Amino acid sequence: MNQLRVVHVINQFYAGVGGVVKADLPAEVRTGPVGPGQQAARLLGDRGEIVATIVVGDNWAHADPTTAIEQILSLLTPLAPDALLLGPAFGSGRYGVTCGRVAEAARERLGLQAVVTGMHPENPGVDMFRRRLVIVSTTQSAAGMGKALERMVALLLKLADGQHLGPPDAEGCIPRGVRGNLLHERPAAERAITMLLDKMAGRPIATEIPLPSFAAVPPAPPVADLARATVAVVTTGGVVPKGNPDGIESRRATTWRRYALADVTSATPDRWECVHGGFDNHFVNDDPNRVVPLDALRALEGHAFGRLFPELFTTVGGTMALEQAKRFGRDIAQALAAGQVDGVILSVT
Amino acid sequence: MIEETGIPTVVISALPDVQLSMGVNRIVPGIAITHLLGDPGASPEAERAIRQRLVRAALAALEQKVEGPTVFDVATLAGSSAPAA
Repeated sequence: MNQLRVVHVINQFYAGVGGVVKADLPAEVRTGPVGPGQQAARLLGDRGEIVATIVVGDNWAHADPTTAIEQILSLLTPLAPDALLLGPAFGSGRYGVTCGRVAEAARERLGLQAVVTGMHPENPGVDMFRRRLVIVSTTQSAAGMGKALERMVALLLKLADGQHLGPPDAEGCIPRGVRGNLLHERPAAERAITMLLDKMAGRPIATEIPLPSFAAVPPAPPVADLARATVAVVTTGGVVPKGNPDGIESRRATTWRRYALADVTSATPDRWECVHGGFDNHFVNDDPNRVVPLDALRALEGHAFGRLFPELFTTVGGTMALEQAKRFGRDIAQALAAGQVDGVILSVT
Repeated sequence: MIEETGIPTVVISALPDVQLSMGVNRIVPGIAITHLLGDPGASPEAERAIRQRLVRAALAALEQKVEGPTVFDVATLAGSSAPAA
């Protein structure tokens, strides 16, 4: 069998160049394995060879990520890899995000299938890339290097063989949210009854369909002085200017928009409409104030609270993927912070 | 996401239990999914009063310090602000 040509991507710290003071190092290629790559090479055995290591400075990769990724790809392409190993980055945020970006670019642009990285579940790179990449779940610190590399190399070889991965907990990787079919020896009704009996008896149970978990958000402090506060209205209820000028989709929306409210005293049906595809809109189309209560806000503005932020932030929340919703949330939050908004009324349908 | 940036945010929703389970910190219950802040069965004046009451409650919720996900009672909050001029 042909040996796999494996390229390993690591940061300057693990290459032994140095810590934060050396983090501006531009990406460079070293021949053969470097640092943790030595152990990965042993684990690959005769199945593959680490032909080169790309060393990337943590800060350099983040100063101008687009250019950095292009440069790393231009180093990677001539190495003609069959497989790409990245990290593990453990809990290191910049390192993890770089691993994710390079891994994704290599999959999309070079068509590489065997691409594996490793991160601690709380690494910010996990949230950004876990749906699209195979990420081995590691410890927070490099103490877990041995075990992480073992899993990473095992999964890399599986992917290189074109094998499908099993359930995440069996493979030791972070769930991608992919559901696969498998033949179970016991029918669902039997398994459900067993689970119910276990639950009634207080025995531990493991769900077969884990629901998405929502990380707790620490509450923001209250508005200090409502009489002087700028309050903005945000909605997922799909209220847009009549004619939906930006074509916000009625479900699975791909965009959010901000619309001027400067001269708007009420969300009247001649100027506004509702394009939300998840509920019967006719009550809202009769009077869009029923989702965006501009008439009430204008009546209260200047005495019950300071002033209304002169723009409406709107999208359609229906059947939106969680990752997309998070991105919209981040972007809208940024816009609100830039507008020095003190408090937000978010109407959701 | 908005609360994470430190801007207090009140969610008006017809499904406050769903918001609660998602960990939304300030929740004011709306009227119904198809008319969140209104009542098509009421007279226009009565409906405007209902909506103003909900908005008042939402504004008051922004002034409240919360320790975690909280569903507010509209009657309590709307009564606590000064009446509209």
